[in-house]
Parts: sequence; C-alpha cells; structure tokens
Amino acid sequence: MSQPSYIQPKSFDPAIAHILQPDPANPGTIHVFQVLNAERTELDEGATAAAYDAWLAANLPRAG
Amino acid sequence: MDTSLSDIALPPGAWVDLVTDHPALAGQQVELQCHAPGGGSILLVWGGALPAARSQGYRLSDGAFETGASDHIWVRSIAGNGGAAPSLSVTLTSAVGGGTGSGGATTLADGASVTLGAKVDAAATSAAGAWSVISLLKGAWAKLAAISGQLPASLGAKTGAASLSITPASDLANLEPGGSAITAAAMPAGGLGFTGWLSAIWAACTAPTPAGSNIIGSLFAYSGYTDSVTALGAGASWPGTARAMNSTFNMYNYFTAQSLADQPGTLIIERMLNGSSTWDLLASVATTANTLASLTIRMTGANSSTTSYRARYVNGATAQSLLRLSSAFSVN
Repeated sequence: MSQPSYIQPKSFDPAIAHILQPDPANPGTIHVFQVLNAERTELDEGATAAAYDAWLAANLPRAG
Repeated sequence: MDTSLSDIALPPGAWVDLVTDHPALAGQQVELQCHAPGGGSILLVWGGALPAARSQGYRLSDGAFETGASDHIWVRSIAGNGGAAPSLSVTLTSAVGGGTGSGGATTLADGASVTLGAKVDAAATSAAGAWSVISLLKGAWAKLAAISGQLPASLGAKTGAASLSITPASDLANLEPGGSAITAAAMPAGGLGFTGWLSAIWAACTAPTPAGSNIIGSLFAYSGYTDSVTALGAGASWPGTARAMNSTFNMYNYFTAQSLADQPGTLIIERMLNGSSTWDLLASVATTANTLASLTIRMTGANSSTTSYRARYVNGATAQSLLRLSSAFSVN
C-alpha cells in the first residue's frame, strides 16, 4: 500500500490542530488545512474553517 | 488588779509589806489613806527590804493620805487610846513614771526608758538588732515614705509615665517591650501595638484569595481546551493541537476527549512519547450522530514537554453540519 500524498501549507505545524481531508477525486491525496496566527503558535480556527469550507464548496459540494 | 483596796486590816504593832499580799502594787503609783476614827495612826515607809531598820516612818493619822511608788510598801498600825486598830485603803492612781493625780496623763522623760528610746535615736535599718521603739518607728516611717514615693499622687486612670510603672518578668520576653517584628514586616497603616498587629492578621486571614494564576488547594484542578467547532467533510479528520506535558501539569492524572457531531464518526485519544512526532492511538470509540461521546485515559509517560496528548476526530462517510470537539487535563 502506497503512502498517501499530503498537500499542506508551507507553514504547517503538525503539533497544532489541523484538518486532514482525503481528496476523492485523487485517491491517495490528502489535503491539509491549517491557518496559524501571526506568531505561528496557535491555530486560527476561523481562518482555517474558511479556507476548508471554500475548498469543500469547490470540490465536495454537500448534499442537499 | 482592782484600782482600789478598802479597809485593809493591819496587825497592831507589826511591820507589813503591802506588796507581799498585793504584788500588783509593786512599782505602781498608789495613794494610801489611813482610817482611824477611834484614834491611832499608821506608820509608812517606802522601799527597803528590812523595815525594822527604819523604825520612824511617816505617820498617817485618820484621813491623811500619802502618794508614792516603790517595790516595797511597809506599813505598821499603831492603835489609839481606845484600842481600836486603824485600817488602810489603797488606790492605784497610775503606772510608774509619775503623774499628778488619779487618771491623769503621765510623763516619761525623753530617754528615760531604754526600750522606748529617745527622740534623737536613729531610724532602724533592719528588723534585727536591739533597736528602741522610736528607732523602729522611724525605720518603719522611712520604709512607708519610700513606698509612698513610688505611687502616683492620686488614684484613677493616668498615662503610663504618671502611673506606677511595672516591668514584665525576664522570662516573658515575648511580651512587649521584649517582642520585635519579623524582618521586613511592616505594620499596616493605622495599626499600633498588639491591637494593630492582631487586626492586621485578622484582615489578612479573612481577605479573599488574591486574583491571579496561582491555584491554592483546588481539589478539582482542570485545564480544558476547545479543539474544534468546524464541521468536517466526508472522511475528513481533525487532529487536535498537541497538549504537551510539563511541570505545570504535574497535578493532573487524566486526559479526556469529548465530541458531539451530527454524523457518526470516531473519537480518538493519541499520545506522543519522547518528542518522536509519532502519534500512538491509545483509545477510540465509535460515535453516534447527535450523541455525546467521551473518552478518558490515565496519563503516563515522562512529565515533560516530550510527552503530548491530543484529541482526534474522524468523520464518517457523510459531511457534517456540526462538530464540537473538546479535551481536558484533570485530577479526577
């Protein structure tokens, strides 16, 4: 089984919360969503959710 | 003794010492009066152990009296022509030392008595010794004067300086003025003396715990985190922020993760040891839509920043509209 391919931001910090979203259009590819604060010490969850929702809307429209 | 003796009968012609039958007369000021209504007289001699050698004496006829004091009072009755024997009455007038009449004041010359002493005698300086009465009285007066000098001029409330001063016992050094404040401890404003310190202690004991980050005696210490309120898409997962152990958390025993989502999924607790960046799944539970899921594990591993715990949530095949993911360290 091949290792998944992660698409992540340059500033990604794995010790800070993030979202791992498999890309159904590209099996084996996982998108990483994480927007940090200016100090890069904490997650900016609002900005992360906004970026994530935008990606979902474009790639995985919710049913209904 | 009685103050008077009436009609003392005397044997005719014989010398009699009144003190022999009445010892209380010895040395006392007495008045002797002769009663010889039928004639006759009484001879009187003051003092002397052998009155026969003093045959003359002082003659008292009927009604005559004589006053004197002696250790021996010799009298001899001389009958009158009719043969009637005179009698004698004795009246005690006062103690020895002189006097001018019955019941009158007596005068003792200054220094006449060794026991009483003289006006010029020095004050006694001790309870022992052969002091005269005057010396002892002078000594007692000096003591009383010394004590009186230590007393306030009058009774009633006064300042300390105007009162009879006292000093605490030497083995009670904790009492003022032997006491002292601990280093750098200052009396709060307005306080003074024992009352000041006691009120300051009371105020400190009853004041609310100062605000701040310190925790004093909390039995339910708790540090909680809101990990996520962002709904996940189908198949997505949310690894929460790593919660590293350190000395701040050494009071905690448990790590708990809770989730609430409108779609089924999986709630997970993971741990990373030795800063290896590898997360180990310690516990997981399948969640039901719209039902609270909770996981709690007992924490282990080094109590340092190289040991971390985190909550993780994996969504199922249906995109969520709601996710609430939280975690906490706790004592219980």
